Amino acid sequence: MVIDQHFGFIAFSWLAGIIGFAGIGLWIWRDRKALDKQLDKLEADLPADASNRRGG
Amino acid sequence: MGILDYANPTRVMRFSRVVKPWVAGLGALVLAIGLYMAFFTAPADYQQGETIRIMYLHVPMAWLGMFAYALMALSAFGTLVFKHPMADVSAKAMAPIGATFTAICLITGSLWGKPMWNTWWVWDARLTSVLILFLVYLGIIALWQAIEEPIKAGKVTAIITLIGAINLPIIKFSVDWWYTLHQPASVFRLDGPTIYPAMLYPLLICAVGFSLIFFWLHLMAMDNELKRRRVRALQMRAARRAAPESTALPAGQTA
Repeated sequence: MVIDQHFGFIAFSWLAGIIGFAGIGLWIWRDRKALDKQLDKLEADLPADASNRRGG
Repeated sequence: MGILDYANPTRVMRFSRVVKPWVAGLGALVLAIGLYMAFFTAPADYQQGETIRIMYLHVPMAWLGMFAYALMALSAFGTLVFKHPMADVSAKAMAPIGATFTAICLITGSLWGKPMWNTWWVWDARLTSVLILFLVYLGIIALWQAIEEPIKAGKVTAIITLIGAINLPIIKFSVDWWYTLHQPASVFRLDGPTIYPAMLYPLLICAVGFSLIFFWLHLMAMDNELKRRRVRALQMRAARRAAPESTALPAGQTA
């Protein structure tokens, strides 16, 4: 690849792609963390005889 | 094993746990090869010069934005016709990913258009129909958020998704049906691709790599959606346990 007068357009395009992928990845990861935390708390509060815990 | 065997969320999560690392690893590897070829072995275009490098991101994003919507429409069909319990989970997980890919397609298209067409945007049929696809994605995401009960939300969004699917053939054939500034199809054509092989192969390899990353993101988002539904079920159970005293009818009144 040669750096020409349109380099800025190419660089910003790929930057937009990187930001997009990082954004959706981070959003899914944060959602997962929050849900795991909520699930742990709710499952800890289940009565001792509850049979359908996660993975059960 | 039939598709209905995957109606069980526990089974889906187990399958997803096994498959995810492989899909992610393979996706990263294929994408690395594709990007190397796109930047270092593929030639510059004789007219567009180096800006052709934008194609290796823009085109896979356009394909995947439409592919994600086609899968959502298939899931919507599964929700409405077969009432498959995983269909709306899949559709809901797909929407933000499809919207992101479509947004990347629009932004990179605009950044490609300025040096080549001397404009960031034109209201031609291809660009406008892709913008409509993006807006439909946003509408569907908003609808999922607006209706609290998942089964009802699944049905309503499935109907809207199927109506929105009319836009897919319009996007595909817009460049044939109308005069557009956007070029006609150069890869998926009945008479074969018209693109130079030294550019076609890196493009296809990038598309496979991005597709694997897309499936990985979708599996992760589906896991999250199943967890969200379990959280909701546990919260409702906890609320029912706490409720009897507060919801008891006044003395002498019967239900």
